[in-house]
Parts: sequence; structure tokens; C-alpha cells
Amino acid sequence: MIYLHALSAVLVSTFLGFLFLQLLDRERKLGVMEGLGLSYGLGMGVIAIIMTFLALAGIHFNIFNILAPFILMIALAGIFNKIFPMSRKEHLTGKPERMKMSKLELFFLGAVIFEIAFVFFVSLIKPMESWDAVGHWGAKAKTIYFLKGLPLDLFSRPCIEYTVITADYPWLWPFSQDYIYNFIGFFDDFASKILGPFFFASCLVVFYNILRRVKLKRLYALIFTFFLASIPHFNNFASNGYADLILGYYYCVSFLYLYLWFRNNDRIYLFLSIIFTAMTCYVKCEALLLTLISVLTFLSFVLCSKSENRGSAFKAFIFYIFMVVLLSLPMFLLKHFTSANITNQAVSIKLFSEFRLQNLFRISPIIYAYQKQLFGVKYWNLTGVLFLISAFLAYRRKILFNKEFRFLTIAIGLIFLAHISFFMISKDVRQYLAPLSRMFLHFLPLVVFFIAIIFQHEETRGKQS
Amino acid sequence: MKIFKIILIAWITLWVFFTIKSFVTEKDKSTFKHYASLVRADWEGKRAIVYGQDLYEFAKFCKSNFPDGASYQIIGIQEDSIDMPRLVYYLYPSIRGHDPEFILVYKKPGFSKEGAYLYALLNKESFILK
Repeated sequence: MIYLHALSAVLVSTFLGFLFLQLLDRERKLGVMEGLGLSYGLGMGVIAIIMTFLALAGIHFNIFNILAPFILMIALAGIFNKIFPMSRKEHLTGKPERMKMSKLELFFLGAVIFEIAFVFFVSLIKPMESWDAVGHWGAKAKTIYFLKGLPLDLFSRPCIEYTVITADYPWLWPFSQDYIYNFIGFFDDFASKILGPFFFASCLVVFYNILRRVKLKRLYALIFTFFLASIPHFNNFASNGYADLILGYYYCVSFLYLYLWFRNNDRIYLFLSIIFTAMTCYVKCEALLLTLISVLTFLSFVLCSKSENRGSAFKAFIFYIFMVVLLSLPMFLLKHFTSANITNQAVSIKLFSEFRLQNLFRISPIIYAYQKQLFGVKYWNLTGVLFLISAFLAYRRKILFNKEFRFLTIAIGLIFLAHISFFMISKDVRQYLAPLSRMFLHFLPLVVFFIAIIFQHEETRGKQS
Repeated sequence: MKIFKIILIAWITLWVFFTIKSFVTEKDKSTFKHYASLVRADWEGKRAIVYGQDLYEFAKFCKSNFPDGASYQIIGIQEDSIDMPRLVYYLYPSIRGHDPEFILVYKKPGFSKEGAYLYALLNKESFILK
């Protein structure tokens, strides 16, 4: 029964997310499955934004206060759509394929479903129990549930000491858990374990659809979705109550829709990218770096645009930055108010003053840590090997900076560069290298996507020759 | 293209290998037996398996023996042990504090503190002082 209650909470937020998405997608460019994959994250993200406002206004959290603004927002957007209707165009990918699936396609679809089912199983048979799950995220969710809200002076009050260490962490993940507790009416950390697997499943659904949008054949899209689903470290983090896979989901959606917008300029892609980029800032502190990388990639798009398009690209760039700042600002304000006088050393700006020339010699432990990840089959299967081969092939074919690939190359390159720079600067490199595998999760879907489009290029090239 | 096909086969082989291994390896926590016991257990039993029987029993004992919102100190669990955040999380809204009303003693037989008296006893090793 607990799971049914929790499932109802997820269905309600997804349904509201779906309605909201329909109002955004006025030209009906998104398919139903793709829409559902987005709706779950959108629903949870909007709920987190609403709860952020409630916290800032000092209003209690309860199911009415959380859902009423969401419903009101949808109603207002619905009225706006009625007043300003928009002509509906054909679905971008044409009619959905009704072709019978081949045995191989059925195999990979079955394997993906198996992975999703397994993640649900592993997640739901345990309560919250891993370090960060009970120490940080779950502890915060439990605290705000018992306090019936998030008082801005929370960390000045007697509270669980682990939450003080992470006082400046964003709140989406504790808010999502708190939403479940408010919906079911009592605290139960078995119920909130349902959330992680839904992020995992949504990520795979969206990832598959984006692969189809870049014209990958159904079989290949299924293979690469299976690759992502079967990466052990990726699906482990869907069930352990950590926030890294959630950040991976939001960043994957935000960047890949931006990439789609670079390719064909459809407004809905830009809107989705803006909303999901802002939502990454509600998940983890590392999102700030990832957002900066998206901004730099967008800037490179503006600079690479033809001179006649550069003006409109620049306007879109300004709009993107303005909207991302506007939508993520409430979380930064909340973090500011709740964590005043508390500094998280891991992301402290003071670290930059600690750089010494001898830090450059740290490159060997950094390279060692990276190669351990790249060739760590137990964690990543063959993702690292496949990535290196794809990057080498792209380099050899001189396509790394082609129109089609350059923005992915820039983004992935900048992420690696930013991580390495951070390790160079940080006080204790070994301490910060320890969670490296978790940092990889944040952009793992991008890496698999990169491999997929290089594969597609190779396949097309093979056919032509 | 050939290399992608080779990797696809290697990938699936590794996937099958690790999936099966996670079910049958004895040392691995994620064994089939572990999952089976979790599936069979009720809610409390699941938490007991995950936390460890002794710790969960102690946590339940503490929760039922002092009022919600009380402050406490824990003796007998190392700071860097996963047991510590699990216990602290479980006992919330009671808070671990610097000036505690209760001292929770876990597997530390004979522990005493000046001015504190035995408040509740789970067994010889684990008890609550006030």
C-alpha cells in the first residue's frame, strides 16, 4: 500500500508536469513517450521551485500549498493558450513508427526493461540507508517534514549535524522526498525510494527519443539506450538515494535539447533546455559548473553562426542566460539565506587562492584516477574504451569540430578541463578525487550520446563507401 | 564499424557476467540470498537486515525509551562508521547534541559517566544513561 500511495504521488506530479509540457509544446513537436520522460522531471522540478518559494515566504509545506500553485500556473497558462492559440504543425518525426520490431530490437528493448525493473526492485526492497542518503539528503527531507517546512534559520537550530556540513547544497532532492511524505501523510523512507528509479527510467526514455531525433535507427537507438541503462555505476546510483543520477538526468535533458536546438532551431528545444538547465541548479552545487559549460558552449554556437544568423543567435543566448538566472535565482536565494555563515569547503571560492605552482605535479595522481575510471570495467563496462575509440575515430576523420559534433566536443572537453583544473587547485587532491566516479555520472549520458553519433557517422560513411 | 560490433559483443558479455555475478557471488552484498531475505522480510525486518540486526534493535530501543525531541550523545560507534548517520537519521526528531540529556551506549559494557545513572537497559552491552 505504501508503494501505491507513493506511486499516486509520482503520477500526480507527472500528470501536472505533462499538462505543463503540453502548454509549452504548443506546436506538438514532442511525442507522448518523450513527453512522459520529460514530465516526471518537469513535475518534480516545478514542485521544487514552488517549495523554494514557500520556504522563502515562510509558508508551511503541505500538499495543498505545494500543488495549488502548480495547478494555478497550469490553469493560467491554459487560459493564455486559449487567448493566443497557435497553429499546430505536423509531428517532427512524422507518424510514429508502427513497424514490427525485429528480434534484435526486442532483445535490447527487453534488456532495457529488465534494467529498469531491476533498479525498481533493488530500490524498493530497502529503506534509505547509504551514506549521503541518510546523512544529507534523507536527513534534510526528514527534518523539513517534521518541521512542516524549511525555516530559513534551520541550521542555527538544533538539527542533524550532517545536514549542517552540506547546508549550502540545493534542495530539489530533499524537497521531492518531502513531497512524497506530504502526499502520503506520514514519514516513510521506503516510499521515497520510488523516486530514484523513476529518474532512471525517465532519463532512458528521453535519451532514446533524443537519439531518434538525431535520426539514429530504432535498433541503434535501442542499443545505445541499453548501453546507458546497463552501465553498473549508473544504475546503482538510481537506487541508493544519492542525487548524482538526478543531476545526470537534468543535465542530460538540458544539454541535449540545447544541442537539438543548435541543429534545427525549434523553439521548444530551447525552452526545455532553459527550464532543465535552471533545474540542475536545484539539484547539486556541481550544477553551477555544468551550467557555466552550457553557457560557454552556447557562446561558441553564437560565434560559429553565420553572420546573417548571428544576431538572432545572440538574442537567444541572452534570453537563455536571463531565463536560467531568473528561474534558478530562488534556489540561490534560499541557499544564501539558509546557509549564511556556513561554508562548504569543497566548493569554497577560497580554494582558488590556494593554488601553488607545485600543484602542477599533481597531474600524475589525477591521470591515474582518470585511467582507473576510464578502464574500470566493473563500474563503467566498456564506456571509457568506447569513448576513447570514438574520440580517436572522430579525430582521425577530422570531424571532432564539424558542425554536427563540435558543440558536444566542446562541452565534454570543457567538463574534463574544469574537473582537472579543480583538482589542481583544491587543497587535498586525494580527498576530492575520491568522488570522481560520481562526477562522471553527471555527464555520462552526454558521453554515450557522443559515442552514438560518432557510430552513426561511421555507419553512414561505411554505406557511402 | 567492425570495432563497434566487437565492443557490442564484449559489452553484452560483460553485462551478463556482472549481472549473474552480482546474484551468485557469496562475498558480494548483493547476493541472491540477500535479496531473497529482503523480499521475505516485513518493513521492520528489511530495515534490520540493512542496518544490521544489533544496531536496529538498539535504535528501536532508544526510540521507544526516550521522548521525541530529546538530545543525546552516542558512545560506542565510530564517527566515520555508516552506523552513525543511520542511527542519527533514525532517531530524528531527537538530536545528537553537545549538552545531551541522554547518553546512548552501544556495545560498550561497563561504560559509566560521573553524575549519570542507568535510565534504560537493552542488554549488558547496550543501554541508555541519563
